[in-house]
Amino acid sequence: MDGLVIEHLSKSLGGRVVVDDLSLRVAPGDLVCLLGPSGCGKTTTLRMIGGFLESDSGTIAINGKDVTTVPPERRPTAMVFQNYALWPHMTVFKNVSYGLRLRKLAKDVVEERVVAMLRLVNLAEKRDRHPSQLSGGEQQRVALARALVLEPDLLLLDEPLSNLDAKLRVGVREEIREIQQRLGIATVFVTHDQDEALTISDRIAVMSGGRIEQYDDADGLYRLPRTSFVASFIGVMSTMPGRVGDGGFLLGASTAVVACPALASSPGIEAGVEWSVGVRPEDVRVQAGGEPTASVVKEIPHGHFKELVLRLDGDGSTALRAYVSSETPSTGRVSVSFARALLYRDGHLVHEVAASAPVEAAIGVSRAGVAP
Amino acid sequence: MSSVTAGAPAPGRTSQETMAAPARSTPRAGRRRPLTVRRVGVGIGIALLAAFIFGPLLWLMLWAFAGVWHYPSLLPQSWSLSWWRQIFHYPQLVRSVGLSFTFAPIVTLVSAVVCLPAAYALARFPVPGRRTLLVVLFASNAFPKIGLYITIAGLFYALHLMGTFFGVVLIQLLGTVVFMTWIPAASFASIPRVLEDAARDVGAGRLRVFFTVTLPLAAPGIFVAMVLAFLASFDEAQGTFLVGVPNYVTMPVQMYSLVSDYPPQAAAVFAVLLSVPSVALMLLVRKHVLGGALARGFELR
Repeated sequence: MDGLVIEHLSKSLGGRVVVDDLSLRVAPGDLVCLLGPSGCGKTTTLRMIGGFLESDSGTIAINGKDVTTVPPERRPTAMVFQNYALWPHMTVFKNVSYGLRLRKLAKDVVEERVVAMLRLVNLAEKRDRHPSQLSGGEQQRVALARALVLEPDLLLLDEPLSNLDAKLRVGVREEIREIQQRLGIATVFVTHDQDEALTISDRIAVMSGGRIEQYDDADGLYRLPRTSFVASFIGVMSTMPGRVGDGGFLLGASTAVVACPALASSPGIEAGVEWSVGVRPEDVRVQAGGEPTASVVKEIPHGHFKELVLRLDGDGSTALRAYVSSETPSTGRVSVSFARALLYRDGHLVHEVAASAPVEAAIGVSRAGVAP
Repeated sequence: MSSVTAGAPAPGRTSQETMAAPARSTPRAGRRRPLTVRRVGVGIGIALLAAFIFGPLLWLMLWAFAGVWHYPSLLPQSWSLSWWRQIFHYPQLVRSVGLSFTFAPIVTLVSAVVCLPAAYALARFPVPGRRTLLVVLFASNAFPKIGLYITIAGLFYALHLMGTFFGVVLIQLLGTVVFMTWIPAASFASIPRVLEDAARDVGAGRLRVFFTVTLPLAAPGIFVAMVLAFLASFDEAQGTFLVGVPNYVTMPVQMYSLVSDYPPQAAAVFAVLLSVPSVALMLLVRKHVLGGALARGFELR
């Protein structure tokens, strides 16, 4: 069993390279998200895995079998489409049993498996309804049942939650994750919603411009985004040009030094070199006392914490975001320091400035898990 | 009910609205006046249109049951069923009824077999010159048919198709091609391709996908097209007259001789008979026609 192996996959559509030399491995039983903005090639990749699009070059293998040129009806994959694609002229039961009936199984076997699957997705009592009589969430579950009842080697989900309202989405994605783990089915899940990706995936492939920017688990992506694209796409990160000096950073046009005690334990960072400095809002420390280095521009309450938008002294262009506890007084002038920062050059992560982790080693570990 | 409280009904209002008026508040009733005038206008328009459409039919029905009817009397002087009896005892006329009901279904089926694959291809594949083809199909119906038929007749003589069964089927087929291509093509095109993808995904081959997913979903449009083709073939007179006479005289062709050689009663009876299947079929498909399958079919895309 070796799951899904994609090697050097490329596809051009209408003269534009949509998928560019993409390689990806999905271990059996894993749920992997292809995450990226629209037009990044994630759906095209999924359609090539499902067999609906022919690749220009590269190979796709599922459990050791090369399926690159196999038509969709003979691939061991099952897809849940974005708009569910339920057949409107068939009942729920007919929709789910369609694939099994093609496989010339005995009638009672088909009945048994379909009923079991409908029970799994909590739709047993809706079996004789037509899709138009179901709610969006129910249609979504029928589509899932239709795919899962065939016991595919690989489940493909194309933005399956984008048509559901926000509240339902959270419930259904947990349901999908639970069923996927219970059946231990390898799954590729396409989404543009980072929340969705971070909460249900074993690993996430962040895509941009037809390439995988980083392939890592949720924690790795958030903690050590390897490129500035990933850094800006996953979570919130304030990025500004800056230099190291005087035990802190000189950022943008600002003249004040933003302290960063962790710099002391991060030797080997060239002083005077221009970096792109990325800081997560939770790593920004804000104090009312001390020598003020920034002013509060805006305060956004989030319930149990609040978000401050800060403007560094002498620098009008960069907005620095900080999460602070609701009790923190936010006067006009504050002093700012960084507990942790990431240094990028040419869009790639070079240094992690943190009190605990020796930087290069940590990046090395995260690199080892990345597809070439 | 205190309908009197509203005072004198405004001129131009129907009694029903006067009854309803007290239920509404006074300012609203005032604002409704222009609407009422418009309604009356629409009503008159509908009445005129109905008279225009049903007037001749009514006149036809009267003639079909008339014994003697002279000007200027509004109704026939005497009524009679004798022409109905005569028509049903006239073997040539009975034969033409049989022929019409033979040609129409055959032409419809042949047309479906020829046109439906074309419709599917036009809807699903990037056929070069697709739009031009659709426009040409439509344009073939825009020119006077008789000119076209005369030219075709020359061709048919050369191919020994004149006076043959196949020749009549072929000439009637011409008039059905437009509906049989356009309407089903629109139906096929309106089926999301992802529904077909989903069927292939769970293991169905192309052919099975067509018969279990595409065809059932396009069925209403195809049904409408087949009814229209049936009616087109059933009513076709010019081409059949040219190609079929004297071997194959269908009902509409027979009408020509009835109109010229018999009193109006005979033609009226025959015309009523000729319109029965049309009315029956149109009633049958009115849901689909009104539902937009027909309108969609004639959208230029």
